[in-house]
Amino acid sequence: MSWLIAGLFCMVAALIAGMVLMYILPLDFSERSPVQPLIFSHKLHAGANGIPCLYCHHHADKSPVAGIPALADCRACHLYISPEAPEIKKLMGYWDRQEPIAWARVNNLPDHAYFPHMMHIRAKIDCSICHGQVAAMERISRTASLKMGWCLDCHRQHKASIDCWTCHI
Amino acid sequence: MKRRTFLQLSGMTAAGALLAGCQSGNEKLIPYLVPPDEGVTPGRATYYASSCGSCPAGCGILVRVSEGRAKKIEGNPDHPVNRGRLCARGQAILQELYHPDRVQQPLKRSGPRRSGEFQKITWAEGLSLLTAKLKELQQGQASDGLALLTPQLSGSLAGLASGFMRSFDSPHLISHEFLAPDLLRQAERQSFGQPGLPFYDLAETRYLLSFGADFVESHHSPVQYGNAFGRMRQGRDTVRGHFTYVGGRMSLTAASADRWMPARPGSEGALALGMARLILAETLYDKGALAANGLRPEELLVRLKPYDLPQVAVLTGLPQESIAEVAREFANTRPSLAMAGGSVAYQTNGLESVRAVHLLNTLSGNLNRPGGVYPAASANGPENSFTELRALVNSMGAGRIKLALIKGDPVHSVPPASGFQQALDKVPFIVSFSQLIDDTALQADLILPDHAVLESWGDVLPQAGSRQAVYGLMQPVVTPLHDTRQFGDVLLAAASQMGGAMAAALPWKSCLELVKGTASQLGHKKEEDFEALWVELLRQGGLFETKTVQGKGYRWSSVAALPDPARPKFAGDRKQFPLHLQVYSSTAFSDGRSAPLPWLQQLPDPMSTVVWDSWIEINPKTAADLGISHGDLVEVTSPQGALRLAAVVYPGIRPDLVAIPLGQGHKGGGRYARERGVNPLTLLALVEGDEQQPAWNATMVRVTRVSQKGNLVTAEHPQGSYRSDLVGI
Amino acid sequence: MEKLTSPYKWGMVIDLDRCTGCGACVVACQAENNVGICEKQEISEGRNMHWLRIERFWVGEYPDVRVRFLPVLCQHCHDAPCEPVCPVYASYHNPDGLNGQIYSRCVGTRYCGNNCPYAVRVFNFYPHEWPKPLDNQLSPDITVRSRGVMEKCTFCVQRIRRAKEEAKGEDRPVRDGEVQPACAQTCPAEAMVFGNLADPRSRVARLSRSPRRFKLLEHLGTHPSVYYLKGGGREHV
Repeated sequence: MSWLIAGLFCMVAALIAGMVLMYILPLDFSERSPVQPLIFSHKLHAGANGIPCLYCHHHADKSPVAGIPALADCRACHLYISPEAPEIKKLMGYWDRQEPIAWARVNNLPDHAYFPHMMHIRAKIDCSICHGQVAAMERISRTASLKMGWCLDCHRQHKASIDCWTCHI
Repeated sequence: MKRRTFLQLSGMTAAGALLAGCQSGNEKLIPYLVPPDEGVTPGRATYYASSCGSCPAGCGILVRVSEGRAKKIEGNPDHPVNRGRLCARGQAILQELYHPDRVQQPLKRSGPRRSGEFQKITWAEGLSLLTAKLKELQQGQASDGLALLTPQLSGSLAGLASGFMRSFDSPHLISHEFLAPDLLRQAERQSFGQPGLPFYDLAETRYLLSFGADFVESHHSPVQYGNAFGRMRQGRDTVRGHFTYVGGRMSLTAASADRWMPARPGSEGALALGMARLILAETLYDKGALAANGLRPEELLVRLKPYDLPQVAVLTGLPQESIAEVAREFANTRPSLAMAGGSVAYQTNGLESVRAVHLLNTLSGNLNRPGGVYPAASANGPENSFTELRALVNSMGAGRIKLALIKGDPVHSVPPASGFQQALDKVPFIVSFSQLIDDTALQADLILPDHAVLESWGDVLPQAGSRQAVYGLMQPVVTPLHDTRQFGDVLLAAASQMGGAMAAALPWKSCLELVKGTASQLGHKKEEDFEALWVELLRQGGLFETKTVQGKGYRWSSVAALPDPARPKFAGDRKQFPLHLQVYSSTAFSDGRSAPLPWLQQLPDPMSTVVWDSWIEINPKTAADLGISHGDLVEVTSPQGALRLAAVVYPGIRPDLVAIPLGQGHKGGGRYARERGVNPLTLLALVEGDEQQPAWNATMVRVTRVSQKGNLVTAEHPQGSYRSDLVGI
Repeated sequence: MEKLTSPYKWGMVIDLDRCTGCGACVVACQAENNVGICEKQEISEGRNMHWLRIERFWVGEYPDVRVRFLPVLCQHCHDAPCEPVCPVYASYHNPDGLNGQIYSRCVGTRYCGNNCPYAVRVFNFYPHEWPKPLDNQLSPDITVRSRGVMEKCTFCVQRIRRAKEEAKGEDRPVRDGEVQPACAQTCPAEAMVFGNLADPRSRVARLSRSPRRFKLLEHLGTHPSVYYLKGGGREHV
C-alpha cells in the first residue's frame, strides 16, 4: 500500500516538475539561424557593398510588413552583377522555373501580435535593434528574444504606447 | 499492470508528446516572383471602385483588397446614388465570390433532370455543345426555337442580349423578375404619357405618404431612399418630415412611419381617391398645378363622387376621421409627396391604384418640384414582361422551344401558377449560367457557370436612383477563382463560333471590349484621349454627371382617363379561404437571389428577428381565434397549393391578412440555402379573368395549426419586446 | 498616467429618428471583424455571435401599434462592469476610453459577459468555420478568435489604429470624420456618427449635446460612450 502512495506522490511531483520545466524552458523550437534554400549573404550585400536595408526591403517605411524582395528584383541586378556565380545560377534557375524561393522565416511574431514596421522606422528605431547586426551576418540569425517583455522594455524606454490594443487586436 | 510498466509507459508518452511539439520549425516566407503594380504595397489594402450587381439600384461600391483577396465591400462616397452607403445585401456579395459551393467549371447533366448528377467538361466542350444546338436550330429553319431568359439587365449587357437574339432571329428574349416595377412603368405611361420610373425627392419633402412603397427594403433604390429618409427626418434644422404609411402589413418601411393606416388589401387606390375628393371638396388643392395639368376641379369632383368619405371608410376599413386628417395634412403641408408600389401594385386593380396616387400628387402640386416627384434619369425597361413570360410558357408548353438559355433562377422565382416550371420540362435542352447549382441549374442539361460580380466587367445604369445621368462601371477586383466565364463572354464566344450574321452583329471579343465601346460613346470629352478617360472611369467607378438631365417633366396626359380602382378581385373562395395572403420582398434575400449567402441567413429579420428560416405573420387576434401561438407549425392552404411553416404572432398586421417573406425554399443553391424554409410563390394563384396580370397579392388562404413544433429560431431577447421603457425609448 | 495624456475619447451617437432598422450595420460589422457564421442551432441556444444587434420593440396593440428599433453594440462604458471582474485582465480600459478585450489573455471565465447589463459580449461556445474558399474573406487586420474566447465590439479599433498611424505619419491629430467603424460607415440613413468626444467641436460631441439624447440603462451608472437620440415622433416632442 505504501508503495502505491509513494508512487502516486512521485507521479504528482514529476508532473508539477514537468509543468514548471515547461514554463521556464523556451518553448520556441524554431531554429535561430536556419539553412536557407539559397546562400544569400547579408554581409556581402549590406556590409561590404553598403546597400541600405530599404533598398531591397522597400515596403518597410510604408507598410506593416517590410517585404522580401521579389525574385524579379534580385534578377534585375544580377543580370549584370556576377551572373556566373553558382548561387546566382541557382537563382536564375528559380526564375526559369517561375518558382518563388521559399525562404525560411527567422524573425517571426505570433499571429495575435501586430508589428507595424513603418511606425518603428518613423520613430527612427534602427533596424539593428530588433534584427541585430545584419551587415555582419553571413547567414541571418535571430538575435532578439521577440518576447512581449522585450517589446515592452523598449516601448517604456521610448515612451511609446503600452496599451494592450497597440499590438493585440 | 506493474508500477514499473505504468511509469515507463507514461514516460514514453510524455517524451513522445514533447518530441511532437519540437517538430514545429520555421515558417516559410514566400515573396513575389514579380513585384506588384505601382501603388500596391504588400501589407496594405487597396481599394477598387466597382458597381453592385445585387439589385437594379446599381449602387457604387469600393472593394478592399488585401494580397489579392477581396475583404470588405463599402459604398463609394463619390457615387450619387448611394453616397458611400451600402445595404446588407450589397455587402454580402463578397460571399457570392467566395461561396464554397460555386460551380467551378462547365457541367453536363449525366443523370435524370433534378437529380443533381453532373459530369465535368471543359469550356471547349461546353461551348461546342451550345453552338451545335444553335446551329441545329438555324439549319432547321427554327430560329424561334431559342429562348433567352434573364433578369432585368441594364447597360451594355442588355444590348448584347438583345443583339444576340435579334441576330439569331428569335423573338423570345424575356427579361422578367418577380419584383420588377413593370406595372409602375405602365402606370407612368398611362398617367403622364411617358415611360419610366419616378424619382422621389424624399430628402426635401415635409409630408411623405407611402401607399405600400417599401423604400427601405425593396422599392427601386433602397440605399438612396434610406439615406434620403434620414435627411428628411433630421437633415434640416427646423423641419422634421412627417411620414404616413398605407398598407395592410407593417413592413420595415412602415415601422419608421409616424402613422400607420392598415387599409384593406386592394382598397388603397380607393383611399387615395377618397383623399383626392376631400382635397377637392375643401379646395385644398394647388390651383395653379391643376390648371397647368389641364384638369378642372368641378369636373373631377363630379367624377370622384363615388369616393366620398363614408364610402371610402367602408371600403378601406379605416375610420373617417383619420382619413380626413391625413388628407388635410397632406394637402396643407408643402412640399408633400405620395409614393406607390409594392403590395398595392400586386392587386388586380394595382395599375389603377398606382395611378390614383399619381392623381393625388398632381392635385397637391407635387410634380416636378423640390420635395416632390420628378421623372428619373434612367429607368426604361419592360412594361409587361409577365405577359411575355406567359406567351413563352405557351410556346414551351406547345413544344415550340427547343433550346432555353437561362440566366438567373426563374424556377425558384416565378410562381408555378404561371405554368412556367411545367412548361420548362418540355424544353429538350436547357442551358443555365448559374454560379451555384440552384433550382434552375438542377433542371439544366448544361451549366456554363458565370463569374461573380467581383470578377466581371460590366456597366450599370442605376434604376430610378437619381435625376442625374449616372453610368456605373463594374470591374474585376480579383482574378477569377475558378474556371468560370462571364455570361456576356459566353454569348460573344457563341456568336463568333456561329459566324455569319451573328459574328457580324456582335463583333466584340469580350465584355471588356464591349464595355469600353460603350464608355467611349459617353463622349462628352472628345478631345481627350480615351485611354485617359478610361483610367479615370476605372478609378472613380463610373461617370457621374452633376447636371440634372433636362428631360420632359411630368404633366397629366390629356388622354389619360381618371383612375378607377374598381373592386379588387381575389383568387379563392372567401368561405373556404378567409384570409388574404401577402408575399413580400425579404430584407435579406430580395426575391431569393441572396439566400445562398450565410451572412444574410444569419441576419435576423428586422421585424420578426427570425434567422435561417421562413415564417408566416399572423395578427395576435386571428392567431388566438385559430388556436395558434408563436412558433407553432401551421399549414397554409391556397387554391394553388399548401405549405407548412412556423407562425410568428405579429402585432403589425390586419386580422384578415397573413404574410410570408420571399426568398427561402430553394431545392439547390448551395449548402446554406438548400432545403431551408418554404417558397411562398407556390401558394400564389392567378385571379380568374385576370390571368395576364401579376396580381400576386390577390390570393386567399386558410391557415390551420398542425403542431407546436415550428422549429422557429429568433434572435430576439425573450424579454426584450416589453422593456422599451427601461432603455428609454 | 496614460489616461490623462490621450487626446481622444472615442464615442458614438445613434439617432433613432433616422434609424430604419435595415440591418446594414449588422452585416458590415460581421464582415469587418471576422465574426463567426452561426448555425441555426447555435442561435437557438442564444449564442449568436453578432457584435451589433438591432433590438425591436413592439409598442401598443393593433391597430395602434408601433415599432422602435434600437441598435445595441458595446457601450464602451467609462465605469464598465465587465472590467473589474476579469481575473486575467483580458478586459481592460484603454487610454482612449475604449473597453478593450485581449483575446490572447482571455481564459474564458465569462464573468465579463455575465456582468454586462447590455448583453453585448459574445462567447465562442463553438469553433467557427469558414469552409474554403470562404476563408479568403477573413480580414488580416484582426485575430480570428478561437473557441473558448470572449469577444465584443471594439469600435473597429483596427480602423482607429490605421487612422492614428496615418495621422502620426503626417504629424497631426486624427481629423473629425476620418475614422469610422464599419457600422457607421455603411448606415444608409446616416443614423450613426462616430468621433472624438474630447473635441467639443467634433460632430459627435455636438450631437451628444442634443436635447433628444439619452444613454442606455443610464440609472446603472456605467457612463457609456454611446449616446442615443430619441425618435422625434409625436410622443417625444
